[in-house]
This record gives sequence, C-alpha cells and structure tokens, in this order.
Amino acid sequence: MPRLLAGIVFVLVFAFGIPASAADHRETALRAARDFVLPRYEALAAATSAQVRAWAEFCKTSPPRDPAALDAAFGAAADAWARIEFLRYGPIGAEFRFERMAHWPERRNAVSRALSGLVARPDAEVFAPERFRETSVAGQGLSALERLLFEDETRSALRSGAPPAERLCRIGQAIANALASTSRDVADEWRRDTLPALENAGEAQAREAVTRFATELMTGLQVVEELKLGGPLGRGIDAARPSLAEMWRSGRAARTIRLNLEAARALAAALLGPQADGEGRTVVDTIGGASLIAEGTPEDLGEAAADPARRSRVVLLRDAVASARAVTAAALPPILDITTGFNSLDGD
Amino acid sequence: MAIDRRSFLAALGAAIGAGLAPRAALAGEPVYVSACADAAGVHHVAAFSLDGSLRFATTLPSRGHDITLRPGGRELVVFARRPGNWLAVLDPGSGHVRKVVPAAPDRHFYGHGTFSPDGRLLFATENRIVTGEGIVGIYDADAGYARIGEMATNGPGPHDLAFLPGGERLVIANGGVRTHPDSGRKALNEGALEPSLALLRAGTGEVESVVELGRDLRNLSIRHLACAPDGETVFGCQFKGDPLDIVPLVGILTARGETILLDMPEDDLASMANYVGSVSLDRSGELIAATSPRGNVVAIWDRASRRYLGRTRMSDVCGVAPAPQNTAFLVTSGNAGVGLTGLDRQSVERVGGDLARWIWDNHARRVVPSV
Repeated sequence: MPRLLAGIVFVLVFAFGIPASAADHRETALRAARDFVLPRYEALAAATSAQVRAWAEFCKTSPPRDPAALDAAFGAAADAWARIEFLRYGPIGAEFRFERMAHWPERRNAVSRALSGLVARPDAEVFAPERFRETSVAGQGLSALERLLFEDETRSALRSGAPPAERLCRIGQAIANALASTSRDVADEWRRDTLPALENAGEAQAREAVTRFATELMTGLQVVEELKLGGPLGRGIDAARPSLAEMWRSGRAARTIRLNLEAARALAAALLGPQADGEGRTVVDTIGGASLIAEGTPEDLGEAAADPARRSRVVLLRDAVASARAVTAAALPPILDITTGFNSLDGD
Repeated sequence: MAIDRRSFLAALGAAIGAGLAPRAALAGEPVYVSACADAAGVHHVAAFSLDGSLRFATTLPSRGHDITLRPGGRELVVFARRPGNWLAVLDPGSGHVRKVVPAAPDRHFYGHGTFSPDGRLLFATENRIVTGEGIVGIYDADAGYARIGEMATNGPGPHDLAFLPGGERLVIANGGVRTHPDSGRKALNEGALEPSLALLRAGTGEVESVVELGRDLRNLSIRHLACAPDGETVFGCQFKGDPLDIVPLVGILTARGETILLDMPEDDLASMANYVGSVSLDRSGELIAATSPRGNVVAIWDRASRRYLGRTRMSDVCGVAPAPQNTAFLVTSGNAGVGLTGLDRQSVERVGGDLARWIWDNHARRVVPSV
C-alpha cells in the first residue's frame, strides 16, 4: 500500500509539473552536454579532420584535378558546424575560437580582403599554425574556405593548377588544419574539463549552465530569424539582398538554416528531458515545425527572397522561426526554472 | 505602470530577506552596487563585496538601471530603467528605502543621474514627453529631493551624464533616440538619430558647447560616460544603422572639447557587435574598459596613448567598474556572475561564487573607496 501511494504521488508530481530543483539543474545540464553537445563536437572533429585529408590528397594530385572530394568534405564539415553553431558556452567560447570557425555575416568585405592578403604576401611562414591564427579571423574558417572553393576564379585555378593554385592549396590546407585543430581541442576539452566540472557542479554553476544553454538556443533562433532570413528578405521585395544569404556560393543557405533549426529542436528536447509534456512538448514541436518548413524552402534562398513567385516561401519560414522563438522565450525559462540574462537581449 | 510611494513600499515589503544573509561591511572595504534580478525574475538593487558576501538586496517594483552615490556616502540613488517613473533613495549600508521620488508630470527618467560634487543637488536625465526634448531634472537632496528645476540638454534621448572636474560643468550623452512612453522603447527617428555630447553649466543651464560626431556617424548613439580626473570624458556608443556596417564604438572627449574615436583591430571591433553597454576607467584613471554584452567582450585601452591593449571574453558582460587594484576592472554578467579582469589577467577570473545566482543588469558602481 505505501508503495502504491508513493506511485500515485510520483504520478501527481509529474502531472502537475513541479519546478526543477537544484539537482535537476545539474541533471538538465548533463543531459544537454551528453546527448547534444559532446556527440556534435565529436562529429565536427571527425568531419574537419576528414577535410584535412581531402585537401592533402587533392593538393598532391597533379592537375587538372577534380574538386568533388573537396566539395563533399566541405559540405560535411559545414553540416557538422551548423549542427552545433549557436553554442558559445564552454571551450568554443575561449580564445575566440568561435570567430575562427566561421565569419558571417561578413562586414566590409572582410573575408575577401583576408584571402587576398594571404594570396598576395610572399612568405610561407604565415601558414605555421601559431602564425596563421594571428591573421584576420575572417580568413581562418569555413566562410573563407567556401570562398576559396566556390568562387569561380579560385576554383578554376585550383582545378587547372594555374597560378596561384599552389598558394591557394597552402591556404586551403592551413584553414582546414585550423578548423580541425580547433574542433579537436573543443571536443577534448569538453570531455576532459567541462563535463566533469558539470558532473560536480553546485547549484549556482548548474543553473548557470542551463541558463547559458537556453539563452544560446534563443539567440540561435534570433540569428536565424533576423540575420539569416531577415538579411536576404530585407524590408520588402525591392529591398531584398540575395547576397546576404549565408553560404550562397556553395548553395547551402537553406540547408544551413534547416540544420540550425534541427539543432535548436534537439537541444530543447535534451534540456526538457524525456518527460517533456504540455508546454515543453509545444516548444520542441514548434521548433520542429519550423525545421520542417525549412526543408521545403528553396536552396537558393537569397534569389528566392527577391523572386515575387517564391518570396512567400522564405517569408513563411521566417514567420515560423519567429513563432518558435516566441514560444520558446515564453515557455522554456519557467519550465527549466531559470531566468535568462537580459544584457545582450535587452540592454540600454 | 504608474508607481506611487505606497505601492512601491508594498512591493518592497513583500520580498526582502528570503534566503539572504547580509553582512555588515568592514571599514574601507570596496562595495559594489548594481541592479539585478533573482532566479524568479524579481528585480532588485544589490550591494556586494568581492568575497561574494551580499550587503543587501532591496526589491524594486520594476527594473532598475544606474545607481549613484551621494558624495559623503550618505545615500544611494537608484533610477528606474527608461522610460522609468521613479527614483529611489536608499540607505547605503542597509539598502532600506528612505524615499521614492516619482517622475514629474509629463516627464520620465532615462535611467541615469549624478550628484553635484558637494552632494546637495541631484541631476537626472529625463524626457519631456510631449515634445521628446531631452532635459536634466534638478533635485534638492537636502530638501527631500524636491524637484527645483530643469534644463534642456540640447538633444533628444539624453542617457548618461557626469560632472567634469571642478564641479561646474555637466557633460551629457545625448543618445539622439526619440522615444515616447506610448510606444515603449521604440526609436521614433530610426535611421536619422541626433546624437551629441553637450556641455552645460550646472548652475545656469547655459549650453557651453554641443559636439557631434559627424554625418557618417549620425546613427551612432552616444550612451555612457566615464570622466577622468584630468577632464577627459570617455564615451561608449551603440550603432543603430545598417547592421553590416562597422563603426568605432568608444571615444574620448578631450578637455579642449575635441572628440577622438579609439582605434582597435577590425576583428576585435567586429566582435563588439556594434554595441557597447558600459564604459569605465580603472582606479588610476589610466585604463579604459568597454563592455559588449552582444559580443560577450570586454575591451581595454590605455587612455594616455589611446592605444588598444586587448580584449577578454565573458558571456553577457555589461556592468564594469574599477577594481580595488589599478589596471583591473570588476565585470558583471546576466548569466555568468561577477569577475575581475585587467592587464595582468588572460581571462575573466570569477569572484564571489554565489553571486552567480543573480542576473546582473547593465551597470555596476563602486561605492566605497578602499583606504
């Protein structure tokens, strides 16, 4: 009988959704770390390391060369990054690693200027890893690698072996190496330092971790809505700016958004845990709904934003992301028993 | 959201105390104050020491913004965040509310204020709601903070203000953003702001000069100030133009009235996300720190040489104040507690462990000088 009673109390507690307690914050943070963060950084380390091998292989092949393997390796690395991109918490936030991984949106043509600078200078010393990381961050990550690989001029040089193909190969390899080494470090430090620290975290640290996860999830949705979609859409069709779409050169603008949204859905699900119901379920489903809409969004998202016949599909996605963001902002903090910080979102 | 003294005090009575263990300050111990929220989202103003002990946490009826210490250390004044309709006068030791002053009719507070060096008058930035004209309200602290006058700031949306050395002239950051309480915090002149730095004679309200940053930077809202003993004023800005532009965010108004925008490498500037939330000088006045909660960055310059010295990272960092030691700063965050950073530190060193359970708001102030 007492056991039955305990069972009933247990069911009631879940049915009415008591606020998370101290121990729960740690459990919540650990769930996010183990189910979401670690596997994704491991996948990123693996994909970026495969990309290093692809560049080495390509550059030692005599021209004319087929860049298909580089394209595939880039796609896999960029996919892996999009699946964990919005996280700043933990080792990715140290030493400005985040900025080194990708540089978008691009300001003042920074990526092109960084790449031209690397092509123009005569020395090879700049490619030593410790020197390379001192160069402009705009030239160190996926955004620069995309440009190298998908801009006509550099792509055809890489393919034909005509100058400055050798230099471009060195740059491509330096970027691929930097991406792989940063990704490896981040994955290792999570396993070695951050996760054990969370396992032993007191209430303040555990709450802080959950708050950071939730805040960054919402910031990620905001970036998708306002920059990745709002940028190309502009204020109206006459103000559409197709070249503000992310990774339009490699045709990945919509795909990146879809992977970002899938990641947001997965992090929300990890934070809420298997018992998520009611409003928690709504959060996960609404983000998932936006992600489904992204699957139907044209891959040439920037052009679509400026095309009267297709613009509405991009607008539809933005509206879906906006409502996912609103639902998340309203429901997630109280369910997780946290208050999200307001300096970055609502300063003065 | 009208708040009268009675409801303010009722709100206070409801929530002080639970779970807090205030400790009396030791003589000369540096104490910092900041607006903050607790885990339940209730707004407070709190004072703490670097060992993490809380001096007090006083519940506020709505979100607070800046805090200023009355010279002589007799009182603290907390301002409601814009468009705010109250300021509160606190006992600096206990945090008890001594007085609440509502905004004058057809006026609201912008969130910042400062005392005359003799501690007699309080000057607060305000909006004349009907016209959107920026004004400074003048309050007589010895007469129960009676509002004894006001003067025009010569620009809309005044935000921070400070006294220049000598105590006769006020420098005012006219943010340039027109707002009306009916539309909340929305800019009514988006794309065509009117920012400036205005120098006013505090005694007469006479405008001595108004400095603008030029047409190219007209969407650069000048918001926060830090005055050095030699008469230079550091200002921090927020850019409200095309988000893909990148513009300098921190400058110096020299004692001669010229403006100098501080340089920093492009990567570092881009990482500030076109937004500075607070500026501060270190205790010696030689270093400048600017925080960007959007970029999660604290950037530091040497004031005399105008040279950029570097940056460190802290999530959602905004509040910044002089640390007890020269060349160091106290920094606060909305989701990463309180820390120290500066020249001799590679990163932000966490202090006051349990202070991380508070969500620290935009500004931190050092209120008790160390001996």
